[in-house]
Amino acid sequence: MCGDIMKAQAFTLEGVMASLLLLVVVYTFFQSSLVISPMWSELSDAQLRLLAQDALKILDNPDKVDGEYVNTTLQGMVSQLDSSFEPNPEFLYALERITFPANYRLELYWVEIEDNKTTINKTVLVNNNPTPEAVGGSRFVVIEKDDLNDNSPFRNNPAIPDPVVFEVRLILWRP
Amino acid sequence: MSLDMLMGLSIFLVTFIFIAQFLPTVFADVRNEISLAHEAYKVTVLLAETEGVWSNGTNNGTNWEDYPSLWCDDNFTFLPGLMNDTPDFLSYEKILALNNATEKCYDKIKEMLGLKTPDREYNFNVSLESLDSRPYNRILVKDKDGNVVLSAGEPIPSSGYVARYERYVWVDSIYELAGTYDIGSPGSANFFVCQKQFNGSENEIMCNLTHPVKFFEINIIDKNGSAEAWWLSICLYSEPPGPSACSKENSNLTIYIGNNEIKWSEPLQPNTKYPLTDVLRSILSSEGWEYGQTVYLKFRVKNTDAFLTASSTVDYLAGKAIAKLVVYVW
Repeated sequence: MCGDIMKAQAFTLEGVMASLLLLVVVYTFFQSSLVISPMWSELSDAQLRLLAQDALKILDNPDKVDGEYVNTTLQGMVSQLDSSFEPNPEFLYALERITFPANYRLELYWVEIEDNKTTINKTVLVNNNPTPEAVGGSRFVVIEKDDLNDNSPFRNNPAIPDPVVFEVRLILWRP
Repeated sequence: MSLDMLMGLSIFLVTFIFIAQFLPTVFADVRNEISLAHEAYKVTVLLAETEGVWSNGTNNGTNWEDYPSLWCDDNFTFLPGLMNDTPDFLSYEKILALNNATEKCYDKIKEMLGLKTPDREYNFNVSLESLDSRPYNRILVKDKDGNVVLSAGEPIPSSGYVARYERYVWVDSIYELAGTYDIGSPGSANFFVCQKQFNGSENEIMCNLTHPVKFFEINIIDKNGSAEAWWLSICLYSEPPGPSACSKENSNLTIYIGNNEIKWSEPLQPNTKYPLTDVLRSILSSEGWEYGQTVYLKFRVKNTDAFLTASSTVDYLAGKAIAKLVVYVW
């Protein structure tokens, strides 16, 4: 008799536990459906990716004033680079003004051809560490070597064809 | 059937019914929000990346902004794209036209933008906002007369699901968006955040702006009168300046820190524009001004016909007047 009561209580407890477990699992599953949905994460990514492309498009201005590129343009920034690869402060101001409040990283790519061997070189102009959710935009600018500053590492390098094609990559992420 | 079995089954059924009712609500919300964001994205692309198109059945074109009398006509269909000649480069004329067209026939614009279909209908609001604008503190771009340039559509609701999508754009003329003020002619006047006084044979103008300056350009028309002396000086202060005069250099446009520390100078040339936005930003940053800090300016103008063009809402970067095109859909 006593054994049957104990057995019944164990079954009841088992039923309650199973129901609770089921509830917790199902509830957790529904809650995480926001993250599981493939469309969900792409929404904010798509917005930021577009803003990165827009920012590069705005800063791309090949028009010259008094024979020189404007400091705040991609062309002005690249043409003024020296061996320290530090973008001029006016360009950084313009970039930060547009991309705020997102964090950013800026990279520059170019091609060198030596002994019929082509290599893609890269330097990091603004070295912030992106998060895994970071997205990027990219823009090509073409600059003649005569328009690069005298101390430019690209100007007197015979392995770099003239005009020089640069790819500027802007990586953005939410803080 | 045992009592234990009944209890277990009833708990399970209660849970199951609860979840079954809860499930559609969860997915409906997600689906609704994703759908809203897609619609907002679509509208920004249509506006920022197309010139628009119109048709009356026999003719067509992209200059839909030139037919205001036909906008609400049922036989006249048009897509109100704002692009000038390249994506993100907007036409000022088309922006004004969208504002007017939406005011006149909101439902038709909604339909043309694909926000009104047989089974779904959305409301929208499109605005041109300053780079400083935030969802919780919107700053709309104003024209040279202080009027809002673009705020078209229904008022944005303060609660519920509202999708917001933004694009960085530039507008074809900074001079439509920035105020132009006569600083050369004698006489007192208040404009922008400046106060002009006629002091002896010179104009003295006091302003306060916020660093970084968004757009600042001096346009020299010509020397006023036959006298030899002419100059235009700008003195910059971190505190409200006292009565002592800003310095001057004959025949020059000169920028000083304080009354007499020269930072930049160029000869005055008739019919010449001096874009000083980057110059001022650079000087102020190198002199230790923080972003958001007030800068007090004092102009000293003698025998010079000149205009100041300045804006407090539109940024001028990379040679372009930049703003945000923001679309809200709900």
